[in-house]
Amino acid sequence: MKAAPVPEREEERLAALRALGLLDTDPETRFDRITELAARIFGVPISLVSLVDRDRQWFKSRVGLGMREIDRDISFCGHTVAADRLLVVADAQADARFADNPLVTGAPHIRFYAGAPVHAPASGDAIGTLSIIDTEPRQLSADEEAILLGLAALVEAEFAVTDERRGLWLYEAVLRAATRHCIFATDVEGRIVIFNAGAERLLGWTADEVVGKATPTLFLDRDDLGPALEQTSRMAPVDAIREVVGEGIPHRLRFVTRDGERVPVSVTFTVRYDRTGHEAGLIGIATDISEQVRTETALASNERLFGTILRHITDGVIVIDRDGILRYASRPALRLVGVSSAQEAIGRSVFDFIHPDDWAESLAALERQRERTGQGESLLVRVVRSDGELREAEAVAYTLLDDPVVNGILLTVRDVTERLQLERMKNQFISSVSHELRTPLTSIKGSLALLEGGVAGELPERAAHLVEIASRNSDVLMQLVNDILDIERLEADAMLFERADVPVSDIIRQSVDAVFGAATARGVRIETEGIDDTILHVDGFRIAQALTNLIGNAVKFSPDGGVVRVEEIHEPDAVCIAVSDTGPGIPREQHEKIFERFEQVRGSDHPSGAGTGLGLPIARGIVEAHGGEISVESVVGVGSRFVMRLPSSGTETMT
Amino acid sequence: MTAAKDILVVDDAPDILEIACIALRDVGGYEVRTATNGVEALEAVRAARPDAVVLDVSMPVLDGPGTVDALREAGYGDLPVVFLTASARRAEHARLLELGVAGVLTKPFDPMTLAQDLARALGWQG
Repeated sequence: MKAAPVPEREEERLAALRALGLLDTDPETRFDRITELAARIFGVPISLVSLVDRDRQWFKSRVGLGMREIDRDISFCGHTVAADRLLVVADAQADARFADNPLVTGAPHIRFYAGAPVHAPASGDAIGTLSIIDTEPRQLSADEEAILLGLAALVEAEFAVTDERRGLWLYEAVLRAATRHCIFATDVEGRIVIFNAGAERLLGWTADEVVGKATPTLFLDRDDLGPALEQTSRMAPVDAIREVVGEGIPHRLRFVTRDGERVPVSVTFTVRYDRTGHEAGLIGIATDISEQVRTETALASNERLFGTILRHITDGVIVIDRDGILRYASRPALRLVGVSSAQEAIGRSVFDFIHPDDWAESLAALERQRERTGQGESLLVRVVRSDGELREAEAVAYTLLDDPVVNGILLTVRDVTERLQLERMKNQFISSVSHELRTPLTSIKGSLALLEGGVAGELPERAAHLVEIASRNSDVLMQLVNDILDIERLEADAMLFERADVPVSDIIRQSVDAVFGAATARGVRIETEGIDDTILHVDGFRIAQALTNLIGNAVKFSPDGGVVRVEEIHEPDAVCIAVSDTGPGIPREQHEKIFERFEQVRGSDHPSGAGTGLGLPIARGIVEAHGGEISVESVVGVGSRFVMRLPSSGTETMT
Repeated sequence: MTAAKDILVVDDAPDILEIACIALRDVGGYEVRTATNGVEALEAVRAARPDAVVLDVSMPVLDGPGTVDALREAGYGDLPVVFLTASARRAEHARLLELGVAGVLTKPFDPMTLAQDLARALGWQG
């Protein structure tokens, strides 16, 4: 016995067989009719529609045979399929290929076999046979061969029907599955022929209500397309849609649901063609974009909100890139630089609007922004308006170079010209008032000093006491005038510091000397410690003024006969001068407050008289202008310790 | 005993002028004349050359630095002048010293020591 050779395109053949989807299905009349016809025409007991699978031969239709399948090894049809042409075996017992075949030697005792191959609809691969079998040897005339081949062609026609149905079934399955997409199709007249579950869901009509009865104008919004549709009303619907919305391009439209609700959709229309390549109608695929539209509307309204806010707040907002090129400028910002439209400003360098004298400082600030070390830094610049007018502006910078949206440096700018003018006038006023106070005070102090000095003769005891009170208070008044002048200068950044190399020992000696009188009068001893010849590059006069204020306070709050210690302490990059007293101490919560203007701890009820309340703020202002700091440690009932810390190098913050 | 030195004090504030007068005359023992501006000062110097001039800085008509120039132009360039300024700033003191004066004293001054401070500035001590 000889098994049939394996056909050349075996895998493709098997794939085509599977794709047809007939294997292991129930018997069908349409095939059984053909096998019955074949058995009658040829007068044979057995007639089969066989499908040759990988290892077996399976019968889709069988007449006169009980088996549903047999092994491919012993299959006659395997030979027919392999040869892909009509095979006639006149006497199997006389044929070497089949003489010992169990189907020949045993049941069903085949003697005669004739098989015509049947082919898959698309690929044309031979996937099976239509065959007739007899238990007697016989011949097949040419007419009979033609009949058998004709019957095989009928089998193939049924395959084609199966294929088409299967395609349609798949198509419908896809349509059913796509519940999130509204899919509909029309015929050439525009009547709806397909209306899927997604369409039912979105539009509220059932397929039964619209298929074959309505056109898509049922749910197209006339407000959107009305006029255009009217104009094209005489065109074929396919052409009309093509004219109005275009083909294959997603369009935003609104669909009207059965309840009259309007739903925004993105819809794509395509023309569909039939098998012969003729236009068969339209397919529309639409997606509900309500959510997207809501988000977009929210964004647009946010944008409008921010735009309106930016237009109406006094401060201007500018975004520049890392090179200082303007990328955005709000309307107040444009007003500040004297430009009427954003187009005139965008793309220009921010330096175009800055006075050349301020370029160096602005450039340094920009560099700090790039290095992200100047977050929230504010800078005062003179702005050159496009008409040449100078304005003074305060710019506050925030680096948003890492922000995906801004990707630049955000500047809020404010015109401070008037404010600065007022401030200068105020400072000038305070300064001149204070100055005017000094002249009469000089006379008062001078007169009292002459009286105390006995120039007008020996004073009676009570008069001497009253003159002493007047003298002491005129000193306080003079100190107050001087302190007000100093604090105004410090706050206006107008105090001039004359830096020079000064030994710390000089500063300490000067300060101790300044309070020596007051200390001695109350028996307070001032001890110094750690004094060496370290040199600091500072304004010695001003630092001594600051230290004098600290030592003066320490003396003032020391008990009679107490000790004030002044220590010089070295740190790696700083020199500290610590002033300690054994006074009443300062409660923790007041440690910051005492550095504010006119804030005094226990000052008013202190026996040695009120200070000006400006000593500590001035001291802190002077030291901070040198890049240093003043800190305080204190324990109530034990004493206080003020530490002035001055960087040994570093002139950065000097003005 | 030599005759007391003659000091011309120039200031536009009469009270300060009077206190300075007392400080220099009664406490210091000098002869003292006064003027209220640079022009008056120049007339007083022409009338009788003093030994020194104590000069306020800001005055109407002719201020301190202007008076120094005027004195120099009038041939009194060698007449010692000491400024009495309300400014405590050393930069201002330095600017005044650059005008070629003998010294700079500050207001407010202690009238009990003004004469001594003046003598020290003029190098009259010892």
